[in-house]
Amino acid sequence: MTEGPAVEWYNGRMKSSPPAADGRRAEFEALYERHNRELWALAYARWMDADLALDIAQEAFMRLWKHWEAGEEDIQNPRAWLLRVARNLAEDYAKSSFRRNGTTPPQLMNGVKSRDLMPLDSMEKAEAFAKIRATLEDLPQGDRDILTLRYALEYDATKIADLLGINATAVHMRLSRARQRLADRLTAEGTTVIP
Amino acid sequence: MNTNTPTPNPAGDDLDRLFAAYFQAEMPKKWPAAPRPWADKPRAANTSPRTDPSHRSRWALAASVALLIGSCWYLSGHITDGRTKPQFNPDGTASPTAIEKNLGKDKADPKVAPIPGMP
Repeated sequence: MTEGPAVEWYNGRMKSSPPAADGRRAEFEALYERHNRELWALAYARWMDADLALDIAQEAFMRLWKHWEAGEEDIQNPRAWLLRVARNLAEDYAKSSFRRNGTTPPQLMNGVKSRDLMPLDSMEKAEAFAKIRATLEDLPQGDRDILTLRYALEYDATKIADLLGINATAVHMRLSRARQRLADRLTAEGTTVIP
Repeated sequence: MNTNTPTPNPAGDDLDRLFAAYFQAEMPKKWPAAPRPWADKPRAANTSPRTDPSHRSRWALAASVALLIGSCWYLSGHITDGRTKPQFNPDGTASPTAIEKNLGKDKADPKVAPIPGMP
């Protein structure tokens, strides 16, 4: 990732005077590179829908740009701002007419993302993954957040603690419990296949 | 303490592998590039209320309502364009054209019963 003045300008030191257009674009792209996956992970943890999470992440960045354009209040911490917007967007999705009246969410399709016939092992894997997805949906939101950050982004406890605003000890505790809850439920459902 | 530290329990390792495989499969294979809002709106910085889509739609609504009212007014006969004339004057009396028409009707209509004592 490109490191430069634009990146230094980020990181909680945004000033009231807007940068030049090119600098602003570079800053925007640098923020996207840094935090796009985190936004995706939190949106994914909310709905267990990878495509929707991508849309939410993109929309959050679009709103950041609009905020800059409007020249509204300074954003002291763009990362926190983006995460908050992404969370709000994910919550808004629950209230949207699309959610209430819309099409079948992909998570109800048992993880089958293609109409192509799958080999047996792929089908077994898809079945196991579908069970994991269904089980995750029943877990508390906090469990999903922490499991997604740990296993999707491969964040360690420190990074997760930083992102969620809790301390590392709490992360260890929550991660351990979430992992155990998921494992217990999968075992109860007979999911023993290791893809 | 680091969560990346391998768990001594083999079953735990299997679970970790299972969960990691699931989440890695869920992640997009190719992340989309950063959106480029400046490319969609090259003059976005000069955005004024006139270019606001909601502003435009309000004007369209106002124009539609005005057109509807104008049409109703026209069709109700309040507008004279030389071809149609009002049946009544503004003070409530019949216009000369209307009187002439009605007089002609009285004479031509044989079904109208004669009033006694009147010619």
